[in-house]
Amino acid sequence: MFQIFKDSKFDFMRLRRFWVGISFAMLVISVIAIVTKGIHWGIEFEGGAQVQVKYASKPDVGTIRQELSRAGYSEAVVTTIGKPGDNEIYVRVPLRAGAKDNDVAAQVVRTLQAAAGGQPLTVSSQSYIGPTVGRELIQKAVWAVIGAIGGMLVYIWFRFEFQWGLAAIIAMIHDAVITLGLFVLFGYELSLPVIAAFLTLIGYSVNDTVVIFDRIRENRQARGGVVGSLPQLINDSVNQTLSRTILTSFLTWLSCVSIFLFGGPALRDFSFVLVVGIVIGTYSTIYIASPILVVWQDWVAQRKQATAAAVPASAPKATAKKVRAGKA
Amino acid sequence: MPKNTVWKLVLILAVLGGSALLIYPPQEKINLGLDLQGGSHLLLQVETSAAVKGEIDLAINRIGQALKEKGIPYTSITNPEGSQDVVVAGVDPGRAGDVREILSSNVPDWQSTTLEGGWTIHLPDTVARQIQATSVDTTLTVLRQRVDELGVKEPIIQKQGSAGDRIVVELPGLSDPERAKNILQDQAKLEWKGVAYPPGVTDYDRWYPPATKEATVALFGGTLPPGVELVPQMELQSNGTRTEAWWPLQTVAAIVGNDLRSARRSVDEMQRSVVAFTLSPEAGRRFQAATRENLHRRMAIVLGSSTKKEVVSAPVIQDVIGDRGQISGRFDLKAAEDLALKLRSGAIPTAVSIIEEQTVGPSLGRDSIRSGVIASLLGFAAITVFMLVWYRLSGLNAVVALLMNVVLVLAAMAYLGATLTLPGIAGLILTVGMAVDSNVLIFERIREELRMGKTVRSAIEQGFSRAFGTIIDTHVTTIVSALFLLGYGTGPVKGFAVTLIAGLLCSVFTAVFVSRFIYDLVLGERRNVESLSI
Repeated sequence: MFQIFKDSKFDFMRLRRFWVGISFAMLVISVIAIVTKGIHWGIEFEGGAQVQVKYASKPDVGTIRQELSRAGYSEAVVTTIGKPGDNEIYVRVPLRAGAKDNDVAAQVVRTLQAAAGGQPLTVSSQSYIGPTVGRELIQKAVWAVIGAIGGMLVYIWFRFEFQWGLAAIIAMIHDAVITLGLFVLFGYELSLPVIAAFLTLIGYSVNDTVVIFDRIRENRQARGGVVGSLPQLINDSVNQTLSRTILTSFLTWLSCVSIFLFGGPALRDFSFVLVVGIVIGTYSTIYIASPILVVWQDWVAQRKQATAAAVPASAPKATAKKVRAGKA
Repeated sequence: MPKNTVWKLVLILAVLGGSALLIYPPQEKINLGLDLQGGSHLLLQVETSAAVKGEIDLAINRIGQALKEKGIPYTSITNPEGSQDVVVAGVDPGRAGDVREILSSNVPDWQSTTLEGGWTIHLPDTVARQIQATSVDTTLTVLRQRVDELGVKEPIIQKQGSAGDRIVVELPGLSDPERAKNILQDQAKLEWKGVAYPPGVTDYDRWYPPATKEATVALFGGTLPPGVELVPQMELQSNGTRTEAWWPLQTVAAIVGNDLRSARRSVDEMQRSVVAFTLSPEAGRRFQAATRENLHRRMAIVLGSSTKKEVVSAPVIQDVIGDRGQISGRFDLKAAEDLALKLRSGAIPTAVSIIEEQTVGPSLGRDSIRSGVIASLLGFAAITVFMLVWYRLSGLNAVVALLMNVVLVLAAMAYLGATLTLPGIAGLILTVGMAVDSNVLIFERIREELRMGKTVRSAIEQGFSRAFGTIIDTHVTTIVSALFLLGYGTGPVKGFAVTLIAGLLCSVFTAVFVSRFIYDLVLGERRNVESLSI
């Protein structure tokens, strides 16, 4: 029988501060990348027009740029896409301030046709997005993400405990931010399907974490409520579910890699998020989500001690509150 | 075979059979999204505020026509800029009773006041709001009819957005998106108006207006008389230059597009494409009167929207015309065809603009399907190989369950009429990756139980029952986020969410119920099962 870990007894908790530190560093780098490099928004969000055109023979991108700029689209971005033999180009034109015309895509096509000088070309796709639509989409995307996070938090709260939900959410945000950082660093375009990939990723990230939580709860019940040391309990649970965590992530990852490699250009940005996100998510499931519970408990215990030492009897109310918070 | 097993087998076969019926034949049963089959997705913004302007124009025409029919002279009917009022000036105060009757029968919802032969009628805000609200529905109806006439198979035309003033139009397999856009966006407001000749003009049939607005106004001595408006005619000369002519026209139209009973493309005696129309009997009488009055003079055919009008042509009326006539301009065959279509379907009550367009050509769609299918098959193959190597015969069990999962998802989509999009294909293979999670959870649990020395039967028993809670928890969290995705997305993204949710729900059935059943079936009633291939 193939097995990755037979009765693994790794001590994941011992180095928890180290891993939390690593994650923190990755988070900082990602945020810096996102802020300095900026998110490359897709046309759905920024508005504008895009046209994808296929030529019979290799098109001259330089001439096309020139013609477009002569037609008034000096800001047009022209890139070749697909394999070299595809002879396919992609033109993106930003919205012009104040312009309301939705004829831009058609005008770009006409310009390209004129520039081709009789060479037949086929329009593979064209789109135009007005200014209001993009703004609304961003708003809706933000609400969808907040809603999804809230919904999962409530479910975990309901099934487990509030702190656990919080730990799962923190791990998930960790995954999403680092993935976004890498996404930006690799220069991918944040389009509508990519948002879908991120929403899937946050669901998947929590899903992965929940399996361990389930095991922690089960073990706690099995030990008859005698928790002993929390790090020990969590460590055992992580170890017990380790092969499952690695295996399922690997299998889901396989299907994403397949989409990334063979799914064509339209799905590449989308699957990149999942390919990277699943790896990060698996790491955070093992090294971040559960240790957060321990770190949290340590912190609460310290606070309790500190409060008890610093405020002996003068503020009994405050102490009582802290203790309750600690138990929650 | 125990009775229990028989029933389960019957259930599973029934589900499979039902699914097969739902899916077969796949080309007909599975809706492909626009990104896969090619076509146009358009989002139209209905300018509801302009609908009120349209209603005011209509009121001017109705009142003017009615006054003329009753033989009541008036100097002008105007809409003071920026108001919801129509001012009728210069009516004989002695005919106030007739005027009141005309107003109450033609514009019953308006409030009218009279002062020394002048009438001011006001469109109340409540009615204006109603007009705005119904303008979207009327637009929807007109668009449906136009799309119908375009001959697009299975189009989608529906309201969208929280304000309810947007219309989504999806036109699968469309070959000429520009034509469709033109037809859908054109308000197609048609009016026949008499030319208001400047003072001193006598050669009515030869007179042609100047090229600028100012020059035309100058002919009237610097200010346009009330009841006259300027509408441009644009003509593209053969050398590529654009010429304009600014026509002074009577504000009140003799007939409007709504008076048309039918319109079709035709040719005139010079073999030029024209649009021939017939009028409703009542409008026919009006048109007869108007053409008699304008005999040997020009009448302008005005087309446009609430915000922009243009003279198509301004022929000289050679004969009194009854209930049929034709519109000639510089149409080619297709333009005449399209204009006839637009006029047939009636005018859109207000201005509409396309705020979003996504068109995918059929060849790109085919490429997408091919690469999507290849990626899915390879992904599935990789998972299959891994499961077989890792879990051996139990892995085979999981693969059977996964296959069934794919069939069920497709069946669910066919049943729900959901659309398979390119991200949806990705969702399908992703679902397989996630569904196998349940199998892995169960198998790992069974292995654990076996290691603890349990018998095969009780290990399976325990493995399934213990993993079940976890499976529910993981599924719920993923479905929660997918539900928000469903609420958020349109088009392709929605397709992805639907596939994902369907896949997760089906996987509970396949991974738990079907896999368990396969174990029961294979292990049979043997008392002592020594080993399990896992």
